[in-house]
Amino acid sequence: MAETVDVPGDSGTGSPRPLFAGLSDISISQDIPVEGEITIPMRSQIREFDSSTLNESVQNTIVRDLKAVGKKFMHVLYPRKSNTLLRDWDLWGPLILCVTLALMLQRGSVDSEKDGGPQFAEVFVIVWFGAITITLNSKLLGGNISFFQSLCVLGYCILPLTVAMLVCRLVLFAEPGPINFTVRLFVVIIMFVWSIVASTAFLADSQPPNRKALAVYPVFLFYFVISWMILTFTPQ
Amino acid sequence: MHSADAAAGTARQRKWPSKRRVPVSQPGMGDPHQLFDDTSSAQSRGYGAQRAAGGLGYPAAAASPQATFLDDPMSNVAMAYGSSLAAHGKELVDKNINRFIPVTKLKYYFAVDTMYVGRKLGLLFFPYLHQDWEVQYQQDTPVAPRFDINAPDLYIPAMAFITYVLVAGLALGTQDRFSPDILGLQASSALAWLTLEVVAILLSLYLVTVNTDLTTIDLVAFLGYKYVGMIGGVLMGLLFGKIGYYLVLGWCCVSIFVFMIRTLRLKILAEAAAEGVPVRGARNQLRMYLTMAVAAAQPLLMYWLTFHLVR
Repeated sequence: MAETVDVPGDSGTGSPRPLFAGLSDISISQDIPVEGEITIPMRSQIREFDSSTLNESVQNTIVRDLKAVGKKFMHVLYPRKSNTLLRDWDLWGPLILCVTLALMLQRGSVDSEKDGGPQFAEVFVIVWFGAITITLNSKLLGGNISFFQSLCVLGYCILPLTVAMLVCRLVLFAEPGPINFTVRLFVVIIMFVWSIVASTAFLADSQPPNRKALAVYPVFLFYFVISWMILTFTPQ
Repeated sequence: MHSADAAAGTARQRKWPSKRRVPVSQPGMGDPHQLFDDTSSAQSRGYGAQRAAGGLGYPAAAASPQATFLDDPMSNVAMAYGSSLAAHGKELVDKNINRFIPVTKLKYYFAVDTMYVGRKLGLLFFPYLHQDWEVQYQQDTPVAPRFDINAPDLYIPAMAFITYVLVAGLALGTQDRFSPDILGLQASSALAWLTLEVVAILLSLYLVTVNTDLTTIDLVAFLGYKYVGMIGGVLMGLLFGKIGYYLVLGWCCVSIFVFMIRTLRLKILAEAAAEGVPVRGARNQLRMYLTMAVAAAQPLLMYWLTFHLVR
């Protein structure tokens, strides 16, 4: 505590002193330690976190990101009411899925134009522009989901269809015929329904109940196009 | 509280005689003679970082580059300027986008719900029993489509357009004439026809000097309703061949003709003629012809854009 200055209490004697005149004479007593630390834990933690992700090894970063992507895959495969996909969205998963799908769907050589399969770039464009269109529609309808969150959800829900593509590819190694086609049709339909259910679980929540069907319809169209491309795929 | 920074700013503190009770000059603050903390965002960030770095005894390697970076009052000012620049840039982009694509006006056209879409689709296929075609207003602004079935919306035309392109691809695929470029071709040709229609109608409205509250977006919405009929026709054609296609397309053509006449009559013609009372006079006749022409163009375009899809 600072030493108090004696202010003359009586008003009658001497000239009136100006207010706070003696304040500059107050000094801190030397023998009472008033040192200490005031830390702001939250801020320092944030600083610590930021700098540590820059300094960690590349392997750590990649493994951490892969784990996040894998966790979201699990959420898509078993759609529950959780908003992990929405809360920490990332676009790595959709990119991986889209590239895988496009690689598997592209037709073998440029010469066979009559085949009718898409090129790599065409699949890419269809997937991403379809997702952007659905997001725009959802936002215009008045949903309260952000642009990238919606892209993230739509991209991750392509996972069942990618699995269907793998299965179809394997089935096509067997002899062609109507049974072959029926099996593929069955698998693609199931995965298509799974995709729609998974994405509806996330997207429909962002719309009021009298508009859910309106937001789901373009999602239905989008996955229908992708399923159609998967079903009509024939290897060279 | 001020003397608590002794650990952090010890070297600097010694400059000031201990008699004077002034706050310790922190490197994060601009003015050493301030009696209170400047809690503006940039400076307090610098202040906090300085505190955290100094107070925790944090490993110097990680913290000191940042601490010394945020130390410098110039970089605080730079950070503040940079963030204000970013905010200003964002404002500029929003303003310019709003100039070209009026986002708030677009939101009106998407204020729909499932009931409205269902009833409107029913109206597009069967407009004969509907009596009241007047759009309701609420203090000079039209009511949102959700509440009034006569109001135009953009959800149905947009979805119908996309569905039409996909169904066209499907139809071509069943005839083995499909390749993904065709999707793009169909989409752009349909869009080109739509643009042509809109421009032609706007031009004729201008030439006939009609005083109407028909905006461009309204017009696009009305002209987009024919895609619903086209989709119906093509789907029936896929399922039942040419007979199905012609039947359903014929029905949809007549429906859209009646729909357009009844809707546009209220917008283009004067009040008297809208109530069915025949009004003599060249002006109203001209407007009547214009309405008929617009309505008659719809079935023609519907046929033109779909006949090559059904074999």
